[in-house]
Amino acid sequence: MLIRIEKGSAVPISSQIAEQIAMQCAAGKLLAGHRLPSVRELARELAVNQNTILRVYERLVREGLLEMRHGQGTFVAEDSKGRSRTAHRKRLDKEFRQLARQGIALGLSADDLHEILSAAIEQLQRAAKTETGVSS
Amino acid sequence: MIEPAIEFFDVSKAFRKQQVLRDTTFRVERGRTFAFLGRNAAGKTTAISIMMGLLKQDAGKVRVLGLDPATEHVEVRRSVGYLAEDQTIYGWMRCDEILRFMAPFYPSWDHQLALKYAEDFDVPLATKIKHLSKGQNVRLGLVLALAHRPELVILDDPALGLDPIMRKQFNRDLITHLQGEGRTVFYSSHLLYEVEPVADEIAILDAGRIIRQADTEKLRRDVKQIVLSSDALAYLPSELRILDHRQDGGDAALIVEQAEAVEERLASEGIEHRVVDLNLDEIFEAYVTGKRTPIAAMQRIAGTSDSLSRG
Amino acid sequence: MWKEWREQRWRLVAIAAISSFIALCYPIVLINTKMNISAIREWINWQSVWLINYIVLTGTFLGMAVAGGEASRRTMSFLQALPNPLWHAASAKILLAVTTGAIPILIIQLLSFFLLAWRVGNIEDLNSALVQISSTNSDPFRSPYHWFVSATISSILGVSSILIWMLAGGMNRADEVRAGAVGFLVCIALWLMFTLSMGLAVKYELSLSFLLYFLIPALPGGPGIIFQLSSNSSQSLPLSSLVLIGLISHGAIVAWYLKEFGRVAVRPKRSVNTTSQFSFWRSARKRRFPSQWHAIAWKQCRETGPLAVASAGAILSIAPLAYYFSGGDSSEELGLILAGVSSSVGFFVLIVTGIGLYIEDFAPSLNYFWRSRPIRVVEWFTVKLVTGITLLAACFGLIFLLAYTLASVVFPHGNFSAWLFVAQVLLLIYTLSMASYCLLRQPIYAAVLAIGLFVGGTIIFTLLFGGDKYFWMTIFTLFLVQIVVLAISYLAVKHDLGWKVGR
Repeated sequence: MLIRIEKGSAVPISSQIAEQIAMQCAAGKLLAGHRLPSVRELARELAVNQNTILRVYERLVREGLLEMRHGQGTFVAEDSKGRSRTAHRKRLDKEFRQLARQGIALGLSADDLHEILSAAIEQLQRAAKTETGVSS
Repeated sequence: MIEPAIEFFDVSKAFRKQQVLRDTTFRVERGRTFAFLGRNAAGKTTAISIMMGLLKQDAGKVRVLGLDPATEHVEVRRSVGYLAEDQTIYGWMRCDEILRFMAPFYPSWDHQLALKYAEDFDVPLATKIKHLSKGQNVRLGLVLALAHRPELVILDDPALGLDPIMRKQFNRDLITHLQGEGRTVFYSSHLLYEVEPVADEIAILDAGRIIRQADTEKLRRDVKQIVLSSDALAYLPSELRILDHRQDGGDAALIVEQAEAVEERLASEGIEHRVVDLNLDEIFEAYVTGKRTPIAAMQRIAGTSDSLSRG
Repeated sequence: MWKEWREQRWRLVAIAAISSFIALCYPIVLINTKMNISAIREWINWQSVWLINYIVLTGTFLGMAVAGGEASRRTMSFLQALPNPLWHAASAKILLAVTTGAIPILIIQLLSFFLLAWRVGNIEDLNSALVQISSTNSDPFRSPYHWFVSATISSILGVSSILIWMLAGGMNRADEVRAGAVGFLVCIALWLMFTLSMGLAVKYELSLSFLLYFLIPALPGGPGIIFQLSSNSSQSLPLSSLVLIGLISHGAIVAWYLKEFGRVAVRPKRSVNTTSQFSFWRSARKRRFPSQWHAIAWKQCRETGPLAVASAGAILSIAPLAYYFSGGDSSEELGLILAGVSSSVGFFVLIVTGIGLYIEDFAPSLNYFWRSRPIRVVEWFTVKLVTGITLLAACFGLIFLLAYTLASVVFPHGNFSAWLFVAQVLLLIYTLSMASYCLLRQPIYAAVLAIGLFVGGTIIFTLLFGGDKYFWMTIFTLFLVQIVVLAISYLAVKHDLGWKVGR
């Protein structure tokens, strides 16, 4: 599990770790049943307070992404992919709202915003298509 | 009730006419990692010297592990591991000699453990101390501070003079050897982003006063910047504590405590606003150098400027 | 220049005050006696002895302080970074050092002259008195001023020359003590070589011995000697060439000093592993010290030991040389020389080790290291003191024992009280220098203060308890003084009293 911590960032360290674990679950890099490093190991590796790591694990357990098996360690939960998606959806929801607010403040209409979004999606899809085309 | 590891109650200390600590009050609970932050000359080293019984406070009460350091300083120093700021040790001694030398002064000294730590921390035992590099010197100090299995470890700006790689290594040592074993760590520093990943709790000391003590995560959640239009200032609750404010045109950027409550209030009033997360440096800066204007005064200023622009 | 003045002014005041105190102690004793010829002669003799001691001590200590000051305060790199050339600072240092050395001589000579003139009545009487002295003495005093003027000039010359040599010898060293040691060694070695070659020349009756005289003005303190010789003796000396030699040699040293001052590179830290060859030592090293006393005593041995052993070695090597060149031929003589050398060296070693007892522990950074450890000050203080004394006693006791066996005839036999007295005085010197360092925290000032107190105290004692019948009174008073000094230094150590730099 690769986690990068940005020191001095505005995002609290616990959020940085939680988001990166959730992201890896959602992207399918961490599969269900995979055993995560222990609190102690991860704390040592990242040079982060053990209590912080413990709180992150607990939060992710509460969100259903991870599960703690007594005496065995922390594992990725069964439907972690779906759950992390719902969590991410919630976060995206917030970010879109923020973006929309900025757009409105800039004087864009609702149609303009829709247009920007669909253009962005279209571009991504085209990029994906050419990529698969090249690889196949 | 278990006694706190360190307790300061209304402590004052002055050198001649210069007041260094003013009614400083804080407690450090056992088993926690406590970061003591302040600018240079904020009084950090003075507070630590009082804890170690090197100085005596002018007024107030100090307890370290339930002992009074002013009278029971030998007992306090026996049960506390201490690493001084920029600590110098007898240069002519070799590392193994200083370990042998310090051993009999601590009843609980574990010499095997000391040798093991020295190995873990890469301290070259057969080298004279004056030939050690700065990083090795700090780690030797750490061995000396830990080998008697102290309940409480006091570190005075240990990261000072270490390069980034050594600082990370040092933090790692701190986590495995201190937090891992459930010790209380009291840690003074001015490098905030180094402290943030490690500390459970933070106290900010400025001009001899504790201006905020809180859990690291809680502090990050509690103190945020809110950007809103100056007209909306009138809707803010008057008891709100503003740490810093900047105004530009019709916008006002406030750094406030209890950000969640403020957000709720603004949302319920339906006021357009933006919340910005802050990093620890910015929070510290707001506490130490922020322009603290009472909310009522700001509302008045905003009101007058409005009336002027209307008039 | 202003900076140098700021740094040196207290040194100047301290040296001037203490040396004038010592210088005037004796005349004050004499002041109430009738001013006859012998009293005046005694006064003059005292004045000369004082001047010689002053030249040597001030030259050494002041040279030490000035040469090592910059480096020990770690301000050398700042000085190097300043935009004006380093030789400005260096020449300011030389100038101020010489002025600082010279001013007390001027003050004392003037004061003494006026005091003497006042006591005798008028200049004419003094003049006649001095002429009378000169008729009984070989020195031709041509006028009352003459002695004072020539003594003043030659001592100023002597002190300046020693200062220049000390500065050059101790240049760019890491601290005052090292600078002083190197400078002092350079001076001693030069004189030793000179006397050796002189002795050899005389022994084999070489014509070289006359040539060797030309070397004197180049040696540390030499110009003063030459001036004194030339003004006092009717013997004709090739003055112009001697002056030239003195000027050239000292000029060259000054030039070298100005050029090299501050050219010092920061040495990189290197990890030197000093592993021991013997597995026995290696295994012993793994063990901890069994008790606090062991630990402190071990530390003190490592701190005082090298100096004690080195000085003992030096005495043992100097004494046979001196014996050889003095042409002695009996074991008694060797024993006496040994005792003499060891007591004169021992005096300095006592003062240096007394100061050295706390020189490391009171260094600003280390002071907090040992204070922040669970160490009882009582133990720390006692064990250090006792260990230091024991070490010195062991080293010098052995030498004295050797001297005693060689020359048992000359030493007082079975005179227990005399030994007691000597031991007590030695102990007092030791504790006195320790106490003065504890209070002043400056090795140079502490040495000056300790010597000053010792000499002043001796004079007061001879005044109060001169004669044998007060012997036990003397011992008792010394004992009291000893306790007071110990108490003062203990309190200073315990409560961290004393003058601290930067507080």
